[in-house]
Amino acid sequence: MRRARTFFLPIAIGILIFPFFLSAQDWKTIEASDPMLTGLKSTLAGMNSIKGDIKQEKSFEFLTDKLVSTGVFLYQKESKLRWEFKDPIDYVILINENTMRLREEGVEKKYKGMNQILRQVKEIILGCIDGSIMSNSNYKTVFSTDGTNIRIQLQPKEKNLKEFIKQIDVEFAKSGSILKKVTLTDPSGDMTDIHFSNVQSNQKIDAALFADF
Amino acid sequence: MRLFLLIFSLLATSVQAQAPGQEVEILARGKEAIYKAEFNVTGTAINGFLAVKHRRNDVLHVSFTSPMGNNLLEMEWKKGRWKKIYATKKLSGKLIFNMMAEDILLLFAHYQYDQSFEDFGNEWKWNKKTLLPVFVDGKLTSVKIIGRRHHPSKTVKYKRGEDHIDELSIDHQGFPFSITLEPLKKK
Repeated sequence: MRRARTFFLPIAIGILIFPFFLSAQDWKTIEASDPMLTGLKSTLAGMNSIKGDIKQEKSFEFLTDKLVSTGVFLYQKESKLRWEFKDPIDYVILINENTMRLREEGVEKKYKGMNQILRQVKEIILGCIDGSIMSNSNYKTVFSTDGTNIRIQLQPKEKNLKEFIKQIDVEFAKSGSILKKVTLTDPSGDMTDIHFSNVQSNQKIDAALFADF
Repeated sequence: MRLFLLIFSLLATSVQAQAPGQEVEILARGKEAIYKAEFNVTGTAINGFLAVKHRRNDVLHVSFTSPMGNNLLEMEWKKGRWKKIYATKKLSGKLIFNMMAEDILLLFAHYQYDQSFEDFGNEWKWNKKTLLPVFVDGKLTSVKIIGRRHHPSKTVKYKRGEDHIDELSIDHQGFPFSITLEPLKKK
């Protein structure tokens, strides 16, 4: 009886925990000099424009519901971005090189007092899209891959950045270097997942979309 | 004499109790909601979302986030006190934070779960303030908050739809501070 128990118990435990191993993605850390990363950087450098759909899901630690926002993004080299949520609120961020404008519910807003937050948002969004965040010295960076995707995990080094964000995870599809997902983790542990779909690169984008709302 | 005191105390209790059928609860115990929110803080309008949970033990957990998802303010009201979990610089000043914290309790009529709340029927007392509620068809539609003498008053308004609140707002008289909330999901 004792023998049977010692034989079957590890098998039973193995059966119980096996699905967890199956469900977890196996991310393997890679060096910054890995050809996968140099390939990603050169592909991103060759992209003149990117556009696609965005679906943002914000999870709150204390809430069962998630806050889901949907919209589109348009990027044109250098540093031109239109980030537009259409639902549940109309919210547009327009970045045209050094200028940044904001429209909420059809009204252009002054962002007095919110400069620091918006500057960080600009740096993070643009950095994730054009890949420049990979070499941003303000972050401690870890690269990894699961075979089909490349993940970049960034943790801010500076105190003022740490107060704003705990971690940024950026995921690109290995094939085609397409941006798939960005996860922003707040200092409180709340997470915001931004999923990108229908991503198209090097398509002609009307310049007026970056100039005005 | 004892009988007289007993009758008197029973009468006083019945006068203090809320009139039957009057609905004061804005977010019931155990419920949660996400609101489209606009905070107007001394001339700067900050838009975003306010996530609120009324726990079964009457703790009120609140988080205000920007449309980009980052937290601007997170706090928890527990045992009559607010605990600040996180506040961005613009919202973390003592005056602004205290004003916001009190306004959130007023908006969700959460003062009724505080020990210092007293119900005198047409008039309520809470936090050294007089609250004047207005009911339409048994539902709370506004509350005027009067503080100390020479202190500006505030008004909470509830725009009601058929079976839910479409908008809740608080305005300070003579001071540029207001909060407007619209539920994203009707609870």
